[in-house]
Amino acid sequence: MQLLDIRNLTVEMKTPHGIVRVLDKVNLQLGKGEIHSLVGESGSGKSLLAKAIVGFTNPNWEVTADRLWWNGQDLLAMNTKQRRAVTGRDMAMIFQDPYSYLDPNSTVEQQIVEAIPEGDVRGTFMRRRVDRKTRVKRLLHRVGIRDHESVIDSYPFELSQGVAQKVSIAIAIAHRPRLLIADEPTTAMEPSTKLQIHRLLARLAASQEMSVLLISQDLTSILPETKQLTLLYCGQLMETGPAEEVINHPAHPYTDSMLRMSLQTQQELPHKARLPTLPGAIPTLRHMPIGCRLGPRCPYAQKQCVKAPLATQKQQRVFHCHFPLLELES
Amino acid sequence: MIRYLSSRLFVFIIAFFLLTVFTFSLNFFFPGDPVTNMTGVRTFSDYYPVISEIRGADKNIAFQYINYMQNLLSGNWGASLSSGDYVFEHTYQHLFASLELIVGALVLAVLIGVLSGIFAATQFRGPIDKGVISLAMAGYSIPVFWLAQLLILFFAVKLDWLPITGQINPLYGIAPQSGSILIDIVISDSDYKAAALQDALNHLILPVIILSIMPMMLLLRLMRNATQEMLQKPYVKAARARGLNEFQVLIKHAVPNATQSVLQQVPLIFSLLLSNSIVIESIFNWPGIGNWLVRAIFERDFPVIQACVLIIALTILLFNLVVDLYRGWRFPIVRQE
Amino acid sequence: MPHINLYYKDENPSPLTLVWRRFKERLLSMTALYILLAMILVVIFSPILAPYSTSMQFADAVSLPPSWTEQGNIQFLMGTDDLGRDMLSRLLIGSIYSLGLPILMVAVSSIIGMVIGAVLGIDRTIKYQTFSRVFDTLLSIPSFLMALIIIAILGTGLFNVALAITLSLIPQFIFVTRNAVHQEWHKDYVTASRLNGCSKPYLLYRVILPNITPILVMQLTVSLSVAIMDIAALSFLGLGIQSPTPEWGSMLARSLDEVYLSPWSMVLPGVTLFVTIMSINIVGDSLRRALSERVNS
Repeated sequence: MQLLDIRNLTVEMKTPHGIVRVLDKVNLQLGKGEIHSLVGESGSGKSLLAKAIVGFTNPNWEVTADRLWWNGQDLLAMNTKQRRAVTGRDMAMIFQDPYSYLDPNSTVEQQIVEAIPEGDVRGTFMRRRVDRKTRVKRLLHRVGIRDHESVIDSYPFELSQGVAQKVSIAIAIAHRPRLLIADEPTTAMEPSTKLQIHRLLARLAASQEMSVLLISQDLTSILPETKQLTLLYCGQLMETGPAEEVINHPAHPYTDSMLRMSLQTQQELPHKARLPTLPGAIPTLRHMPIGCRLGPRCPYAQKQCVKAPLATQKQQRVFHCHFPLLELES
Repeated sequence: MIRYLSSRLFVFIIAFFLLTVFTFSLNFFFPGDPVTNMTGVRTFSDYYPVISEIRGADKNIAFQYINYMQNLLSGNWGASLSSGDYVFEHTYQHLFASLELIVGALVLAVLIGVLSGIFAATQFRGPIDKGVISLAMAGYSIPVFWLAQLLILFFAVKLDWLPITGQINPLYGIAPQSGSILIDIVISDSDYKAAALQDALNHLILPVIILSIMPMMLLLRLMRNATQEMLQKPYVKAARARGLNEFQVLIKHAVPNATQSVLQQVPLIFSLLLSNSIVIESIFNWPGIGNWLVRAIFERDFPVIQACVLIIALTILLFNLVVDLYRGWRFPIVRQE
Repeated sequence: MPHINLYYKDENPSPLTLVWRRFKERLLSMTALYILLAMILVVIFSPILAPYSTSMQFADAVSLPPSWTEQGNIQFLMGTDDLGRDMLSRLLIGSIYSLGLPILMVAVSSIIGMVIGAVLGIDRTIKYQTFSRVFDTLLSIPSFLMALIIIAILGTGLFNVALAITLSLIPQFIFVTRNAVHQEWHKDYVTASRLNGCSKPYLLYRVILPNITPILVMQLTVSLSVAIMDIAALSFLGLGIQSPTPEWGSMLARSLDEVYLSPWSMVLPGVTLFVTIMSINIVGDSLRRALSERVNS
């Protein structure tokens, strides 16, 4: 059974210019212990999707779905308290800017202690304090902070970005969640720190039987261990499937263009050649095209594209396109 | 912390220096003779030539300032022009009387203002929040002297629950020693201590409440806005998503961070409190610094005016220093600025 | 022909326009603004509006209650005081001293303070941090105390009081302007303009000023309410505008003696003062709110 099962999730936002549909019928399935990458450019609604999963919503968002199931339980049917209990027990999330997600006026220790479930702490009153402290140290070790003595009493603003991100990972895994959502955890980081965080996430996923939903902006910064890959554009699902297959044989024009844009996959570009990008720019929220939202920018678009394409399934892969790049044997 | 401490102390000392330069120069701005303004010895007095010689009236300004500072620090603040009493001996009595009001009002304002501010923030944009905030806006806009008149008229005249003015009924015969009436009663050898204490408290209620209203309302609004803002912060949302309940989120994250930002505004509130205390003391005929200052301005009693200005400003500077140091100690991020 | 908007046009309104739009959305803030504007009109036209002279004493109508009570007389809409002077006329003329004068004082002190503040804000020559800290500390000395000191030097009287309050308001303007300019100065868009080679006056007027106007307008409202409060408090203590002049604060002080006989002589000036200050405070608070909403969105 899938751990997380999302069918036709739609998020509508109330803005001064009317209601805008920022996520349009998105599907997502996630299995136990698997690393799932969610890729999309800015404005694609990928962070929104993550926030909708953990219930991190604003009052002016309207979240509807045919199915938002966690481990067989319907999250949308719960009230706030039950939902908080479930997400607090099973899920955790880390973010792009660790500083704004750490309380500037509490020490690292206080914040990690707060995340350790009371049930885990053993011993009588005095022992519990000691036990908590050893647990904090163990967690810091696990996220790759060896020098725990100097970090444990620090305040977030005294830490470097990489260490702060590791601390937020420590907070996230303190209650051994079954799903860790990482929302662009390494954008704006130095390459070496980036690599460290990536390795850490992969290791945690392997050793802790924890699923990871990694959200990133482009195909170059996804983990090599990624099992499933999903591409979003302007709130619509473009393509999803096993990572290797999607990358090697893209079915959707959007996937194809994303792959070409990431220079690493390109063998050789002639001197002064244009970077193969899609024409036009990402539309603003107020000016979303009808039908397939990629339509106006898609090199293969035709008349049909003003209607949103239905899902096409081919083995494990699903894509939404009238004119896929794959040969379809029927 | 040591760097922070020393930098704040340094700033305090410079501010204190500028303050004394200011009060020193007041002697020359005030009408009349500078030496008279400093010492309270009039020009036609027999002592005048001697005092003038000691103060170095014919020497340059730097010498005069140093001389002034020496006298200031050794407690030689001159004599009142109207009563002839030594100013320094009377200053602390007036100061204590004022502090009694100010501390009472401050405690009341902080208790009620902060708590209801936090409460309003949890009810953000709900009917209770709107009600509390409108009330705070109204309370903040009422001129204190008018509020004092209204409440005196209602509680003291119409209902006759509370006395109109003064510190205590003079019939109890409590001799002023420290200036603070409550301390005076405790250390006095009166036979009716309990009754006197009750009477003094009755006299305290009205001025303390009136004095506390404006800072309380200001604090309420600040606290509500800050807490509300903190409740929107990502780390608070993250704490909620982690499964903490609303009360824990409030106590552990929102309130400490809101306090840190509100503490920045506290000097403003305190200076508001002090300027209102000048008016309130005059209305209630409370023998504090403010009342003394206003009377001295009427009587053109310059040594007293100077002492009052110095004491009020110094109280504010000291209070700010303490608040600043507390912020730096409790919230290390402040030291980074 | 109905107006059909065929094309989207993204406008880029100035910061002040944006704040004004947010401001307009709230009924309360608009009400307060209208009350304030009405008050200012009263200040301007009060000599025409006032039915009687403020010093005219009606011997047959001493301590007459307002006209809506039973003993009232429609000739004296808001009653008379203990000397038989018409309350309405005194309140109307009093607005010149209690609201008109503060507006003038704020205008003068804001011009002086903002110019000095702007110069200090872009001047890098002084050892900045220590200076600003010391300045902050000294600013916490209340303006009311400063006004008292200046009155102690100059003596009471209309002109001296106006001068005292004007001078005591200046430091706040310096402080706010300097901080605002200083904060904007370090933002990237100003750095970009500086790299483009804009001169300092150009930077100040065309680049920074539009972005700090709302803050300055907010400070204007704060200072105005402080000025009104201060002048009324000084007059109340007898140190400000002296008694025959119908200033609201001094009217309140007078009413102390006659409050048992004619409570309206205390209630009416107080309510006027209260409503004036409240509407200014609401306007200021709404501005602050609109400002923070603009910054957040």
